[in-house]
Amino acid sequence: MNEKIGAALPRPDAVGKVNGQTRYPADLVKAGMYHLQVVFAGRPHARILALETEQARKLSGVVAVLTAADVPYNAFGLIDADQPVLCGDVVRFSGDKVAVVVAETKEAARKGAELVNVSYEDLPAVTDATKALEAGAPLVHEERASNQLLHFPLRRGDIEQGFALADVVLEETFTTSWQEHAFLQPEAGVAYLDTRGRVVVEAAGQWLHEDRRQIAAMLKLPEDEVIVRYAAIGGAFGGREDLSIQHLLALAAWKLRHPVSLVWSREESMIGHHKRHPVTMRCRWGATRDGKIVAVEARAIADGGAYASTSVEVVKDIAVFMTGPYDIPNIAVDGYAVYTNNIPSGAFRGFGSPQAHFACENMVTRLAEALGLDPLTVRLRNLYREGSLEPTNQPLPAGVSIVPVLERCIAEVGARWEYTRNEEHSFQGPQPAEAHLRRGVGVACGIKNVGYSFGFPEKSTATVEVYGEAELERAVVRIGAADVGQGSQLALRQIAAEVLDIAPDKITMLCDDSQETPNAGSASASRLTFMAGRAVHDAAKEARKRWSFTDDYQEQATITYRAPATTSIDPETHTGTPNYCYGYSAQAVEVEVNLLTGQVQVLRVISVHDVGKAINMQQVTGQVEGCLAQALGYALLEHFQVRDGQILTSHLSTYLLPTVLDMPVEITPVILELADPHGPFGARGMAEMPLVPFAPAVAHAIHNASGIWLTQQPMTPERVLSALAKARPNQL
Amino acid sequence: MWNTFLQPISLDEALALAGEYGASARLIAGGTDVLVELPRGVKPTDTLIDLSALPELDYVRLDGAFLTIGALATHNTILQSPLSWQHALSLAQACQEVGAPQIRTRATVAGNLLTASPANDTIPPLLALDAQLVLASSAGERTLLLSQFYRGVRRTELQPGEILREIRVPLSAGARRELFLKLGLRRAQAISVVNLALALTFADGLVSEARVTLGCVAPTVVRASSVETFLLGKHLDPEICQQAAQLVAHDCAPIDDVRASASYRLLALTNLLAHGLTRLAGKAETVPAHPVLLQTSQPTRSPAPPLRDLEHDSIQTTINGQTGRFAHARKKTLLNFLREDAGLTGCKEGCAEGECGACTVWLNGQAVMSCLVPAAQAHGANVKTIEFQYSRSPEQPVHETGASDTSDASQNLADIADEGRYLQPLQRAFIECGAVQCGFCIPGMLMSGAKLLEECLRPDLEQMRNALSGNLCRCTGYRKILDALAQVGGSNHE
Repeated sequence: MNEKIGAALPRPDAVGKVNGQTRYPADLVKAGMYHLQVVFAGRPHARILALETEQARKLSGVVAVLTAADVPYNAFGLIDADQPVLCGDVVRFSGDKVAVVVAETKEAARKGAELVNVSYEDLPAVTDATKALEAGAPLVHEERASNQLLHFPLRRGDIEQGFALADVVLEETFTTSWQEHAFLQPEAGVAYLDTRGRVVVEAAGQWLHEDRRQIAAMLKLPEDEVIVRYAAIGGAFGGREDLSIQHLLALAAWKLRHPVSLVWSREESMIGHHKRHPVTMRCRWGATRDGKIVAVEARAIADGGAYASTSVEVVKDIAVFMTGPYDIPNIAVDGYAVYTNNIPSGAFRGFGSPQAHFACENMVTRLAEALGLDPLTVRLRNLYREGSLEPTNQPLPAGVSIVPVLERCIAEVGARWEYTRNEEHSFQGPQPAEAHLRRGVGVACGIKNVGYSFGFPEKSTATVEVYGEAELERAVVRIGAADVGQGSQLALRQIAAEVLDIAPDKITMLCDDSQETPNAGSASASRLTFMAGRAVHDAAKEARKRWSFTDDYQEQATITYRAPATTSIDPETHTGTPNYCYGYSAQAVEVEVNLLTGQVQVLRVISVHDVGKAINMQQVTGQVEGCLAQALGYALLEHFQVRDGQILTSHLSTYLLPTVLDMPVEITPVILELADPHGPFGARGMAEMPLVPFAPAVAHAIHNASGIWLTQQPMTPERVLSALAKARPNQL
Repeated sequence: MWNTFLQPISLDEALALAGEYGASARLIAGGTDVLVELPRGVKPTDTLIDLSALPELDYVRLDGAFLTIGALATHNTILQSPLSWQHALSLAQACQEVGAPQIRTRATVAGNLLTASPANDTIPPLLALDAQLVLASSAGERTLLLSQFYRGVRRTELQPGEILREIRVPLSAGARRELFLKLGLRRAQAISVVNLALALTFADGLVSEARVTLGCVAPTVVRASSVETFLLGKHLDPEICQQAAQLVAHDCAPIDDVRASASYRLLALTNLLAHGLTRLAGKAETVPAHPVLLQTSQPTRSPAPPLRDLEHDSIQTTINGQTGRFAHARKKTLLNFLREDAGLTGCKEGCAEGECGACTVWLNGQAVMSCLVPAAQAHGANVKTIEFQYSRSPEQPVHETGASDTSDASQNLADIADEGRYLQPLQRAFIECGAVQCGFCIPGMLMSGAKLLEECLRPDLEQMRNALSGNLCRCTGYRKILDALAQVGGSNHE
């Protein structure tokens, strides 16, 4: 049993990726295809007075200029269809699209786009989420009475009584910034009509069937008249959840009945797709002398940008995680999602949890210091246990493992690193000879849901076909589960191989075509191994059973797995079950702070995760290591800057991703396998978890090294040095 | 981006062309700045005059009282030259911190000076060393002090028709000590937030001459004259170093920009200057034994006919062992040429500005960012891409391309790919170590990694990290990529 589960099988897709033969969307462009060029608004808020396309149309090589009038149903969006495909009356952020030029060459398309003449009347823009909530603020969507997209309150216990019990009360405001996904392959794709007249889009995305749904709605076509296929996907991280170019390709191919292509530059990608939400979090935490946290009051305002995207769901998660993985009897949390004239915010690995943890884990560490207690002791005193109530007044899903996860993290630090702990200073270790370099260690915990939340239907469907005479010879697994690089198709193959008890290479995986596969749900929320894994597991089991009871050579089963039900939160009682499964993590980070420049180098990381069961241990540690790079960028480097709605960091030379030299030399992933009751072979999702505790662990380590507290993410050299200068006015 | 690409094969011819085209043309050598500027409309031009076919200008040598650096000397040329470490240590230190290895194989020091941004890293050391520039034109040559060369941001005294032929660094008569320090926002591929160079001469333990130069804190790189004056005749003890550094505020006028605020620049600069002066008073700077270069042979020109025929747009180049002539290549980057004309889509565009390394290929034995190479510079050159194992046998004819007939070839290649048996050890190691996730960066990673293993049979971890510092990966955190490199780098030695 289990010889295929956990094994470090190599990835079948890796061969084509190491020899340059794998085709990514930009590699699908063929001679004879038309080229598309998007005309962006370039201003945060304006009324379109006139849109003149004649000059562009007259340019040699230009075939057409598509505008709002060409879009059958001019609205799209994952949750709320509030975003125009092409703006006809008002533009609401600088990356709004007003026209698409179609031309025979890329150059003609680009020149044509410069000739599209739009006259605008600039409208007052609101680019600060807090100000957008004020009365009288300019409205991003005129038809709505307010810029408030969501107010999400959570109440547990009695907040006044809670603070009355507290011996120490701390208040602080934390801010986090946008984060760009920066998947290495910018958006690209092709589209054409097949011989039956169906619209075929070949691009990259995170959910075949949702892309198809939105494209079909836009074209007012039945869904089976639209086919979405994914080429190799060059990273996603949530950044391909919203439509970016897929619908434009479909529109142009459908309208012109000719194959079309679109390849975005890095700059277009940066200004064109949504980002991680910037959030301002005002927190007030109270604890008793013995380290018991008794009250948390918090207000989180998230800048949702110009369109809804997934803001509503992200903000609900932020609210639930504002108290982290702690059982706190008195809670009053208010989350707000706000429209502004900034770039839309949406899904990004972690989905609100990293922002919330930056505030909450910082607060726990500070409370501990204020109480003169070890922050790890305070954490252990307050962490969720089996049966603990969530901020939504219902017990957590079974399988609460944050205590063993943190205990293991502490043990690993003790075993691997030459630091000692005492009650006064959390960690003490050797310092470098250079007086301007100070080292320190920080620890933080994390919690993040696996799968969809708050009553959103959570299901995944797989079809497994099996073939064989006396014994099973081969199988075909059909499941529309996007492999965005995370290796989900290998995990699903290993699950099928284990259940069917055949060699993994006897299984054909069909995952990349909306027409050929059932709906797995999205590659997001760390859910595919759990949800698609269960669907494949259950379908394989059923197919094998059916096959063993017949004499047929071929048998098959299609199974829809539904996760344990979640609910929305009752607005009267503030009660509900937000999630069916959580991933728990704890990290220790060692940093070296340069007191001269404020630069922070991460030297070592221990990252502990309960994954339930590692389907492929090598892929699991690969997810941890890769996610840590994104977490490190988020904590220290990636400073997405926007001024008055205009993006200032639209290149990889101004928006800095971590290079190999910025990464710690020593990364130790520690994988616990404390089985989830529902996941396949006990697996729970894990791919987002390393992003959750990292930034606050770094903040703690910086504090441990240098004595300063930081409240702004990213913790850039400038912010560090400025805090150092305030803390040590008499020293350089 | 440009319509005419001229490639003179003698200095005289280059000077004649420069004179003929004057301000309407731009000179290009490594191209790592020019090809970033042109798409953004900085100093636009219709005509490029390429100096890369004048290899005689790639030198560092001693000439009388000077260390001389030719117009085509790259950052790697400096790093490789013991002379530069001996006589222009701060310049060598600066070269080591510019961009990434695939930039340093191509970018010239002369080009860095001519870009004339106050953030260019080689300007402070050369200004601290009081370098001179030899500016040549068809009318003759003139020599100008670098200190008189800059007129403002991206503006110099170079006249239309002139070529910066040589940089001359005066050799030190006394006991000169040097240091270059750079503050960037990350450890590689970083534009300086501030940088500084120190060149101090000592007599009897006291500072007898001081040149302190500062980057990124004024429209041009400037000298810190208050600091210099203060230091004269002083013994560099820690207290003096601190006092000197405090004076730097009088010598600069930093501004706020996307990288940092003015106040941060001043504070960090003050701290770094104090630290630098203290360091200068201490033990000698170490010279790296084997800096990673990502090049295994000096670029050589093959006997391809010179690119003179302005009417004809084709180039002749050898890709993965196959020589062919390609039409419509002269107005393109090497990346676009390889992808669109040669049908080799293994090299990827991730940024088109030399930041991500996904387009890394080998050009005459050097790892280069193909998005920053004019395809015409591959004329008469050897190019190696990730598809190298699929090169057809030499006796098979290479088709003359017109862009459209590449699909058949790629179809065949895809069939071969299924078997994976042609993989090289490093490619196999990437698969075995789990180094491949989305895979988009992988061709570039392999080209950099394989070049390192050619350059250095058994690299240590720091060499591996340096070799990959110009290749971004957003999926793996680099850990398993380094594992794969170590697996092959280790086994080579056993």
